[in-house]
Amino acid sequence: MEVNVLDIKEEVKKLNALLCYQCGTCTGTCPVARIDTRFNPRRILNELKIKGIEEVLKMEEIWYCIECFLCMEKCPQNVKITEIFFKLYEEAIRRGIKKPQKYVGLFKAIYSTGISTGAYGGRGEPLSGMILKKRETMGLPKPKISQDAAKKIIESTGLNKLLG
Amino acid sequence: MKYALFLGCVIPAKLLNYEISTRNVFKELGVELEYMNDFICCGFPFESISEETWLRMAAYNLAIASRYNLDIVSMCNGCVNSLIHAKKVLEEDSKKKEEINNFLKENFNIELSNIPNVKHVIHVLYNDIGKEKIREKVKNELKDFRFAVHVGCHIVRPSTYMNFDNPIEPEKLDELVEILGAESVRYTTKYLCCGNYARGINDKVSIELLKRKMEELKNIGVDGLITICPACYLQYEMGQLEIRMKEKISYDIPVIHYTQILGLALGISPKELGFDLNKIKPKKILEKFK
Repeated sequence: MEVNVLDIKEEVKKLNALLCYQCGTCTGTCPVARIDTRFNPRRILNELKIKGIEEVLKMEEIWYCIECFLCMEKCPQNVKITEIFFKLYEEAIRRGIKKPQKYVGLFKAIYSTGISTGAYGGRGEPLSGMILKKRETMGLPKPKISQDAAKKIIESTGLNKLLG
Repeated sequence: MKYALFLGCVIPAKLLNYEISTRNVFKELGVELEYMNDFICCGFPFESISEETWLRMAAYNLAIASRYNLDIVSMCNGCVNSLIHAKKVLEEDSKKKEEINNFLKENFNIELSNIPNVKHVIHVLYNDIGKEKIREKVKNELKDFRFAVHVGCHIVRPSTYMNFDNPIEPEKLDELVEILGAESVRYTTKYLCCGNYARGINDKVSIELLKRKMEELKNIGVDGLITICPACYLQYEMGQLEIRMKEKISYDIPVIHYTQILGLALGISPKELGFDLNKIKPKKILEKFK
């Protein structure tokens, strides 16, 4: 199945990117920005308007968002900030500008096993014999996972070609 | 009361203490759980990088779940967020739903008709069972225990589809701790994101977010940090072990799933709640309930 290619400019506009009036509430509430000043969502939204998407897609710091949705919740202009980052990620990966190792690890695990056990540190591995044995001694059933379904879905959108 | 359990990825592999305590607590409260088979990852990790992959994976799980004719329950903030979001998207966009349905039929011979409700354990406890009912079943008051709660981001945000609690300063987990007789301490880093998602992208930020909370909790003194999300739990527990090893700094804040302290209050033994698997031992709890 062919997947429609995004019109990234249109997508970002739909998420109210142009309504930003630079109040800085996002940066003020961002847990990342208070530690690492390289990440500044307000500035990124400004550069989206001034320099345009092509330039912003190349910025390394867009990848520092940790997806907590706090800025989006607080934005007085209802700019869907976190979702704008998602669109930028999707487009940057689609264009081959960036292949973030964190997502490659998650992708590999899900593509080959149907699940990812790597919530800490972005790694993943299948349920090992040791884990299954431990489950059994605790009286917990063996999880029945549709390994192939995840693979088929990933191939249907072509994500395997981008991250594989 | 019966639910289909969506197990997710991390819990059945790494957090058997969360799984066993949830099972035993539900049993004690008269809630039946049926394990949902043939599931895959909820799609959450791909929501930010491939919307269509996320939606197809979440929809696949919802279609499998609809066979059970039950509401779905999960122990994970990420899974619940992903599946609730997908349900909303599919219910509001009939064209998208039809497209996804065709994909599911063609490839897996399954389809979405009535999409089941998706709930977190905390939704079941707070909304479906209720504080009063839980309170009636408390056998051991957890008096003299001081806990810090950490709710996590994705159970309350975005509030456009996760409308469970105050999205900025949630308080329902505090209430659930307090009905057990324990104190839920107020602290300044209470709503700070755990930082798990910075791992592999910006590790320094992840560690710093963790340290800020641990330092405060060390200073004010608590008997444990109560979580309801596998990602937060692992960040706090494994993160503390990592800092202890690499930087020789010990915070020794026990990280505990809410279902574990609920179980103790309901009279379930620490062993049946998986406390032997908690890597930072909650000494005061184990001393009292040995």
